[in-house]
Amino acid sequence: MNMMAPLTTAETQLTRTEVAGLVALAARSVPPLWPLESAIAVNPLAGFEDLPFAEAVHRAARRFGARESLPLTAWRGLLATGRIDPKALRDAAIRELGGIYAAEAQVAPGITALDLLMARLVDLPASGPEPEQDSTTADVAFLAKWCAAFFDQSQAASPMPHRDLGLYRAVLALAGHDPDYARLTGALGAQLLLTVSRDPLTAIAEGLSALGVSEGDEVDHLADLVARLPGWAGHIRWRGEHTDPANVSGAPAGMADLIALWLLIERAGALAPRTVPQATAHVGAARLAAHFGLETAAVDAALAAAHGAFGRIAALTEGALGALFMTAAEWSYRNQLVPRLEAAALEREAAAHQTAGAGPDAQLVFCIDVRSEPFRRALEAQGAYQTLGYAGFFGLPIALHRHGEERRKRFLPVLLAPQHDVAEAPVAGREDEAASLSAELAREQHTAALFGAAKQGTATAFATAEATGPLAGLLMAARTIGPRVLERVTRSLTPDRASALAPALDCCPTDGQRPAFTLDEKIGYASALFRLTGLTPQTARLVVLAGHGGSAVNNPYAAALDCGACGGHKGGANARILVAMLNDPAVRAGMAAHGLALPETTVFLAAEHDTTTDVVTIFDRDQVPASHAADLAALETSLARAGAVNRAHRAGLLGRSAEDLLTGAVHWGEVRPEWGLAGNAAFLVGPRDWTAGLDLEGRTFLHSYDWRADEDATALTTILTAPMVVAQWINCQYLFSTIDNSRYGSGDKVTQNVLGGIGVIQGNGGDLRIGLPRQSLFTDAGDPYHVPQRLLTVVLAPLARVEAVIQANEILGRLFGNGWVQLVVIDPETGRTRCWRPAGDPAAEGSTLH
Amino acid sequence: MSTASHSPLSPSTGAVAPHAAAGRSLALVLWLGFAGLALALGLLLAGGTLPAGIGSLPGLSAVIGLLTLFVAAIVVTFSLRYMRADRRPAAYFGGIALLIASVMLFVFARHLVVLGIGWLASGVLLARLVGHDTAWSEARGAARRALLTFAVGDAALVVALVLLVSQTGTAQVDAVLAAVPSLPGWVTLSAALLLLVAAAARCALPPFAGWLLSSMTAPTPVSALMHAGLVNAGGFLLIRFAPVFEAAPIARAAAVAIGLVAALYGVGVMSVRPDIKRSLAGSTVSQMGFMIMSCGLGAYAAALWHIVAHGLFKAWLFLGSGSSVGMRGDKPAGLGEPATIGGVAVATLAVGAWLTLSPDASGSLVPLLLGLATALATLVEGLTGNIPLRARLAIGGLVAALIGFHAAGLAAMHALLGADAPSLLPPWALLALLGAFLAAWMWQQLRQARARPLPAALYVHLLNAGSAPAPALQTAEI
Repeated sequence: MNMMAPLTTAETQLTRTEVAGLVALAARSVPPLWPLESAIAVNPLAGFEDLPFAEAVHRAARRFGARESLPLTAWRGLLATGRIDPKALRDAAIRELGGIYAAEAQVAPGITALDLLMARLVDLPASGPEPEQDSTTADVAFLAKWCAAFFDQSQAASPMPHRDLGLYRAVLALAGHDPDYARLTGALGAQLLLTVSRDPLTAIAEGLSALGVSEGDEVDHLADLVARLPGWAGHIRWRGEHTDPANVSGAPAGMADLIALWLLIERAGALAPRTVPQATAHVGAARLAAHFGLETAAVDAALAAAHGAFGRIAALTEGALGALFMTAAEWSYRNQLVPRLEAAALEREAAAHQTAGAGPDAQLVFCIDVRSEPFRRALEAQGAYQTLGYAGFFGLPIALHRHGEERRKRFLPVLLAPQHDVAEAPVAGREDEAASLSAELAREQHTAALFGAAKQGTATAFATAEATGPLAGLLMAARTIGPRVLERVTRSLTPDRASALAPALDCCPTDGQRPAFTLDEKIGYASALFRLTGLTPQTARLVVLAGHGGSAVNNPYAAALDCGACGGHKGGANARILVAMLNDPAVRAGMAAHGLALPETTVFLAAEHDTTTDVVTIFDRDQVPASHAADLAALETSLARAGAVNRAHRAGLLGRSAEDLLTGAVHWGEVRPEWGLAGNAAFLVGPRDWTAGLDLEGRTFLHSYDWRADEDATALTTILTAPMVVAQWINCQYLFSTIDNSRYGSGDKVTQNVLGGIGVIQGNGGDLRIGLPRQSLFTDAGDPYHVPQRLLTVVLAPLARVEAVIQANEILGRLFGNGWVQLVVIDPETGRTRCWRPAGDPAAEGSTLH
Repeated sequence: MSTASHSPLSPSTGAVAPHAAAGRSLALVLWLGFAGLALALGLLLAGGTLPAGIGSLPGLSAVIGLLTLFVAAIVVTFSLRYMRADRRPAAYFGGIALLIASVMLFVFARHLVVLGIGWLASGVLLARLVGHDTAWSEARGAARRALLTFAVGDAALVVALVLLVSQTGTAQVDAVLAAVPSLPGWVTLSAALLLLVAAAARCALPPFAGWLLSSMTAPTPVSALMHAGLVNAGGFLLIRFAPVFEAAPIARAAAVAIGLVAALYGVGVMSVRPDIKRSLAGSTVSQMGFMIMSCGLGAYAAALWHIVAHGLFKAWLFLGSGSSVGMRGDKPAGLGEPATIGGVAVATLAVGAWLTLSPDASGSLVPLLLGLATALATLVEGLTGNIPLRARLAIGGLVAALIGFHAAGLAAMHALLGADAPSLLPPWALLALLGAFLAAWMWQQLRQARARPLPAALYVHLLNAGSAPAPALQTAEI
């Protein structure tokens, strides 16, 4: 019997392994998002770094529904206030038009292409004011609500049921009870809820096939879904890749869970259409013509002209115009910085032949953070001090278990995994203080737990409010009117933590057997300081390693002011550990055996620079030998003076008094205790005597480097592939958070709502917010304080060596080649400057550098 | 090359912006107002009795006025920093100034028309501040939702006032209240029920809780002011019009019922919310329910003290809500072992049973006994924790001091307000009410101790409390 061909459609459903591969690729469209308790700057466009910058911005804007650049009005404001050089803007316009000849070509009688473009950049009306803070669509609201309930790490006393099943299955189990789900997905959703696979990977395979997503389009399709909740997707990545599994046990969730939920909504036809702001904000040719008073006939002629420049310029989007402004901002900065660095390099070369004077009284190693630079400059002006720049974790890949805290925390750059577990232990001779501190901490924790439980209890909530109300009123008044007095009183009542406890190098928190570091490891970390910074073994009597951290209270973004290299924590602990190693005679002996024999008179000291108050705290002062007491006293005087100078300077930038900065540091209402890393613009690699004479305005990361001591370029490789990459993440976070603060940033602080101890949402709900808040980037008047511009790296080293390093490291080829970071190399001996040109970049005509 | 010509980072501000000066002046006025009122109250108290110079319940007006001015002064001072980058400072500080003025107006009003105007104005002004970020559709939606809820409550208030004026022939508050005993039963009952609706809308009791639970679009200091000051208006209304309620026991019973529901519901909402601000809002619903319940029971002094202490407590928590970053693995445990909780509950009920035998068992028993349960539970837990003895003693001392504060506050309110209303409920009903709280508490603590989640349907319902129906808002936007 001859039947018709069977009607069963060939179900080309993917296997679970294949889906897992697609999910992993799709997950890369968002970067991990660190919880705010250890805030780490990441590039929100990290998933696009293998594309040229302009292309990446464009594609990401479509994927995330974001703007491509600052609004034109904001750029024009920066131009008007002189923060962008008009000449640089003109140069950028000329390059955009394809060179000076094309730019000067007449596109209409008496009007050049350049005239047209400049009119669009500077004069013609831009699109309206700030677009409104995007309203959360129903699909996003639904999933964000369940992500929030699922991932909560501290807030709710009654956790979400079924969390042990994983995100996907837990939501499936509850969606049937949820009227929001019914409203969103209707009858189809209810039916899907019964039939859809309970396994996320299988459900994704089903979904892709049901939606008819064709082969080859799957990753893009899934990536678009991931990008609809970049905050929660980023949190999932952080959970999977950057935390100890124990911290997230009991509530398993991977990107497949989130994607499977999105596909469920999409299959129910409930996915909201995506909107991209100002994609077509060009002006009509007629509008452009009218601006120049051209007749219609003249316009037609111009439009018909072979070059088509008129139409092309009229059609430029606001994003494209913004990109020109950004280039202009970059050139404005580069053109004033690089010539000074060139001159300084030549001067330095000339001075090298003179005999060196006496050595410095003290050497101080600071973090490369941009906030170190003005402080270092202020300190150098106080006396014979030499300063260096080194990554603020001082090369120690550690996880620190702070006394009284439940979890260990990672005090290292997120590029690394912890190699050593360090715990805090009582300082020798301070056991009593440590014990009383322990009791104090236990009391605080117990009181907090008691208060938390009592205020949530169905029978106890009311009397708890009534009994604590009067005390709350008193404290509220004190924190509002006299926060500094309150802070002083509180401090006088509790033992000083840093003097009672110190990170212990020779015991281990877990088994008590294995020390945190072996002697060889100690020697290695101690030597790396010299190798990477070019610090010579002829050290001064005092060498200070200064970590840093900010001061902010009641501020969800407090950790964003701390040291990024220490995983969003204060850097004092790392400094103390390396100092303990460097003062250890056995380590010194080992270093000497490796050719690093330090003078016996050198004493290392750990310190912490408070970037909000510019106060530098020296740790373990009482361990300084009497022979160095006078040196220390002189240094502390200089540090205090430098702090006052820098504080006054920074107060000017904040539009406040220096005294008010100290108040803001402890005031619970302060939303901008300091400017953080706003303004960051360049990463300079070279010895300090190259940059010491320059006012770099707190905009530069400074990494010490001596090309002479790095023949094989290993130090340069490390510097460019680790600290510079971190600097680039920071730079991109500030850049994109400024460009579109509601998409790539976290919006206005005053309506933020802390969620689950993890991060913030805006108002009643929506996605977990990424990036930085508006107050960290914009002035009170709403103008950008941070000018969006890409990082400029300047290296003082022989050109050939830098080229070799770039060629040997794929990541550098990507960052420099795709224009994520601009690179300038200054040859130390000739003073000749080379500008690394990204692949496909048009000739840098008009720029002063080639 | 000149580098000074375009310094990239120039100071952002020149002279002090005018709004900052306006904000500072407002803060000063509020602090002075608070100090002046406190002084006046102190002098009057020192002089013996309070003259009936301001309203018929001068103690009530003075206490609510003091609380409002204090919280407002804190909030405005806090805002000088917190709102430094606000785009509409004039609307913000101006709005708060008018809001506080309107509250003062109805709190100290002796004429019903003045009271009504102040009440209505405060609602509109509050809603505007909830939607302060006018560029944000969600904020506008939340403001609209508040406004609509207030419209219902305000309409009820207006009808109640019109009814009272038309039936008594006067609009003087004292005269109206004096005439209440002579009014027909249906009038007092209608007026009392309408007043209860007005109070419930302002206090965000179910079914009116949505506006408060979705008001997180307000800047944090506005939330603090709202939860500490504005929501109390309902309690003020019930105490102010106490004679009307005492003439309408059904309305009092309704207040007890709606208060009980709100108290339990709010705790549920608080316990499921993953975000700090809405968790606090759930707590406010619960606390307001408890306060309205106390009013219904006639425990006016307890209710007034609750208004004051809770206001301070909640403003403190809201303004400090930025501090809740930090992940804990473990969920907050219950208040001690289930056996301890059980023991405390039984002891509380036993004391309750013994007290209800006395002839003057009053409505204050319930708040009082819940206070006893709280004191017992926290003392037991505080003194037995697995921590050094020194720390345990310190905690015990703190709890004892807080109990002292509580008792002193309660006594002060009694002195200001005078006698409570006659008891509404028979002793067994009071015990049952107490039992409801204790049973719910035991269930909650047992679940937490065994890490058992809520039933799914209940959990979802509580989690969704206050969520705006999103699609409707979306389409209504443009």
